Amino acid sequence: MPDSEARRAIGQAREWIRCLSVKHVMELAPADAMLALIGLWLGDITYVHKDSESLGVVANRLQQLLDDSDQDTVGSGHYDTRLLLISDSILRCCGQASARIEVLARELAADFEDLDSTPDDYLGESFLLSKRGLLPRHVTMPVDVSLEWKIGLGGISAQRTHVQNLCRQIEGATGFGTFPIETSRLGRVELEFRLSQVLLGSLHSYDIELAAAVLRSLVSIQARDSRSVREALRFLLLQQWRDGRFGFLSTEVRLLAGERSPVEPVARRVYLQSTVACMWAIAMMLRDDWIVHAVRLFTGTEQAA
Amino acid sequence: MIHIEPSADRALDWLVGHLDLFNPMDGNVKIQRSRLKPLTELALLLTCMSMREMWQGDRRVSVVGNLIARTHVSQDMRSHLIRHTDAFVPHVLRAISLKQIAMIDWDDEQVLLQRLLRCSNVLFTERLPFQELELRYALEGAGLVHSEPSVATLFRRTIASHLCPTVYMTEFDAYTLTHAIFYATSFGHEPLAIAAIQRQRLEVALRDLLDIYLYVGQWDLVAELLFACCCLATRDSRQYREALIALGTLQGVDGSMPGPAAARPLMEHQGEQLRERFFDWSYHTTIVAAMWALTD
Repeated sequence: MPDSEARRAIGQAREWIRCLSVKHVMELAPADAMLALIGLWLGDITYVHKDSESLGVVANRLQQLLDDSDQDTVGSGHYDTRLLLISDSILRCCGQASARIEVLARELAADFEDLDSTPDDYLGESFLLSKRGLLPRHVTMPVDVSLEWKIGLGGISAQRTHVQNLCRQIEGATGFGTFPIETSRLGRVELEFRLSQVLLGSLHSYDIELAAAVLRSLVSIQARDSRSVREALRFLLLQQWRDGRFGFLSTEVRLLAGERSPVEPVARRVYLQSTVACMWAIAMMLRDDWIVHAVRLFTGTEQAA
Repeated sequence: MIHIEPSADRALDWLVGHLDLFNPMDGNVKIQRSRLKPLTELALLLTCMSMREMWQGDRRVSVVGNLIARTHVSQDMRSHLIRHTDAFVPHVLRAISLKQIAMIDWDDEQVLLQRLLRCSNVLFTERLPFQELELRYALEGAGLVHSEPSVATLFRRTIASHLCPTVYMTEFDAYTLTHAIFYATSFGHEPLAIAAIQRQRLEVALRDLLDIYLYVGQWDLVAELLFACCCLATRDSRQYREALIALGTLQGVDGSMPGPAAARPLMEHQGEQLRERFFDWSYHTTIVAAMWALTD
């Protein structure tokens, strides 16, 4: 698949997020604003036509939302700490550091320093904090792939949480795909086998978000050129609407919304999640762009367009 | 105790313990058409068993054979055969199993089948490509005179020769693929003459499909794919070994195999109703797993 096709898809997705952000900026919840911010940044690093205006609009909104919320909410596990820290990195390149996130980051760093070792599924946070200079160094450890998968009636899909944790570990162990994983050749082969299996299964089950996370993990362990990764990428590109969002998820939206009215906030969240997940996976396929900009972002040297 | 791979012996015990639910005439005036498919699949298993020396004297062969023979010659089943042309192929498949264990007057049966073939629409009705292969397998097995194209020609028309990326394949596609392989190889008894590149593609597709159905817990298809790999003599993959271990682990102590995880019967059913629901859910995986175990 040519890079231009991937860039065009990301550009369209960026446009969808831009329109949504401009139109509904005051309705964005903090988690939505974080996703929109990351989506816009992903668009800016991979698509030729950049604009800093919409990034600024969403950054302002997120800043305002975080300022309005109390510190306990920000630090209570209410939000995904990884998304918070990455959003904060983007806010910083827009010149808008968040005091609330800063406090959280320092508390988290202090907690990690008290521990003998960083918990496996917090390796990503540890990496981000070390890049910000809040932790002396980021200690990666080999991802535990020797863990046997439990055979159960529900199949491997019954262990979705386990897969998500594995992906989080790989993100942390590779600095979000910016450096190679520390594992034996056999360990890497094992990871590639298991992740490819989950990739096919999750695509078949139309679990787009999980598929995108697994795709990112496969790219991070240098399995970018494998057949299953190429097929998965083509599949994801086919899941894009003309307006730019990813995923044909009306059933999921209806189920999640239930009797609630209006449906729009639910739809916005669902499509933001799937769109940013797909954009992120596709952006990582454009390897050089991703590594250059991600490293700059995490070290605080990235500048907004 | 965890078994590494599914046991044919225990699967057969479970099947024999549920013979009443295979019987389309059981306590009914009319034929229960929903039971004809399980009965025909049981007959295919019987054919596979009859070709293995170690099973030829097994008591369960004659128990299953008796049920199929009893229903086969009943007036109702004869009427069904004559009045419903879609009954022809399943009828021939059951007849072949009885011929294999010498429980049928074959000369009479063959004359009847040949006459039906000549005077009905059996050869003219529209079929999917894998069903054409099934028809050919039945006609050949019964030694009937026919002018159906060769296995190679028919196989080229099936999905097995026109593979798309597996993420786009539906469950129906996966079933048609496995059935094309079953009939084209006579359930693993005939080698499949295809080009090396095509075989390679087929092997990749089977591995990918095993990945997918191990992921979603569709054990019926996992068993079919495992058996299809066996028919193609392509057992050297990690997916094959994982599928084996999974099915071996999931086989019940009574010998039954689970059906698709998503279609598991509700435990709110009770007594005979629960037994029937569980049978509907399990019988196909159990038969296919037993076929695999007999062939491997």
